[in-house]
Amino acid sequence: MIPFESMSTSNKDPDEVTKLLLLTARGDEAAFRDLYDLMAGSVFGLVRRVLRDPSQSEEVAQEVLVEVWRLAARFDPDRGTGKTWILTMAHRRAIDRVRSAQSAANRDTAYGVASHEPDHDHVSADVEHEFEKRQVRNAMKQLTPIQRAAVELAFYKGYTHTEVATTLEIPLGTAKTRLRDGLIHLRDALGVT
Amino acid sequence: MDANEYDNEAEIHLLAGPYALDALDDIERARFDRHLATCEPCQNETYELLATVARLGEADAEAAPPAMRDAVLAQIAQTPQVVPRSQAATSSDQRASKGRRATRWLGAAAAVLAIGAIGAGIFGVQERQSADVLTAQSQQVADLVASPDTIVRQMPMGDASSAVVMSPSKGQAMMIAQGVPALPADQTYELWTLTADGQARPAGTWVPGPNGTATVALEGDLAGTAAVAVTVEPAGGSSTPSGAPIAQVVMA
Ligand SMILES: [Zn+2]
Repeated sequence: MIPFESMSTSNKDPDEVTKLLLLTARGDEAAFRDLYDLMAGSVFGLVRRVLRDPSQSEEVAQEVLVEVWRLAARFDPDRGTGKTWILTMAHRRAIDRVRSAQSAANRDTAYGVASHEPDHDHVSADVEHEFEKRQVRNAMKQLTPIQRAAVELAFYKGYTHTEVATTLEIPLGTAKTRLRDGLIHLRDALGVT
Repeated sequence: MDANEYDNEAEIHLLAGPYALDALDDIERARFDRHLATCEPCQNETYELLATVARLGEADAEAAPPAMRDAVLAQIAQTPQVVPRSQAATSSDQRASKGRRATRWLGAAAAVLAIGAIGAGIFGVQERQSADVLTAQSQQVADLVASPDTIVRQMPMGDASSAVVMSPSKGQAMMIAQGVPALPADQTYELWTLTADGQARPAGTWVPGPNGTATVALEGDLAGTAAVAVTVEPAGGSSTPSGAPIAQVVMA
């Protein structure tokens, strides 16, 4: 079990993350340490949700966090928050790893995403975090089955829209549309601005 | 325009969703990136959908393995940062992304720097096997690092690694580098100090040693130095840079 002290998911003020990322871009290592403490849990959790294997996830999460340091100057605060920038990078890295590790052919093509809830062998003692999780879960439930399947296949399993279309037996154009309107629905349900 | 083209044009606006979810192949991603540059509605939608995807990601947060923190902090201490696109010479910026392998470096100088407490946080403690090549010059670097107002900046240089150590109060600066490729005999590397208004002042020519390392004291007046840069010049050096810098770092 992971000690509660090492949970780094609480009190993530988005402005704080953005501020720390901007300081990091100027070579401020102390700011990066604080940034690490705010974001490492989210980065690791996201990568692990996609890759599942803990040691591979640790390796990729570590790479992502070092990239955050290295590329911080590329972050543009006009294009979204620091948190989005970091988690976008984390997701892309995890997806790249999935895609390089398994060709589309031998990825498990059975549609079993709904059962791919995260493992609950880790502590999620943080109330705020539980609330966030429930919000996402509830927002997901409001999607149509096809929207939800499309979004989950892409997000959690790294499927391309072509693979989403094949797996769900829908035309490619429909897959694109479902990925978009599914996310738009989630955006509104989660109050993302 | 034929109907097919029209379909493609209309369809591209749909790609913000798959794009935000990393569900495009490389070609489509590049195509949508180009589209994004000119389509404001898609820009706004993409930022929002990326933020939405980040929210999905956040819901999965869990405690990171405790050992990862030390590993990451040790690694960033020896990882040069890219400079902002606006300040970077394109060539050094692009090559910096290939340069990750080149970040284990500075055996001797880093060991010295690690002893000087100010430098310790910058380079991290390295393997000590190169301690036998400690030179008078690295002692000079260490002395410089010990100055209270010293600024140390990593300066990505293609696949090589370098750093500039500067003490405004002492009016001294040094560049240390490793993995620097040798040049043909008719060329030399040249250092420049750049003022805030963009004036480049020659700060000395140098060539790497046989092992690709260099420890060089910057020449000339350092007052008003906002950045330090390196160019490749004809042997003997130039009084103004003849090409784009291969490395550049903001010292402010
Ligand atoms: Zn558009």
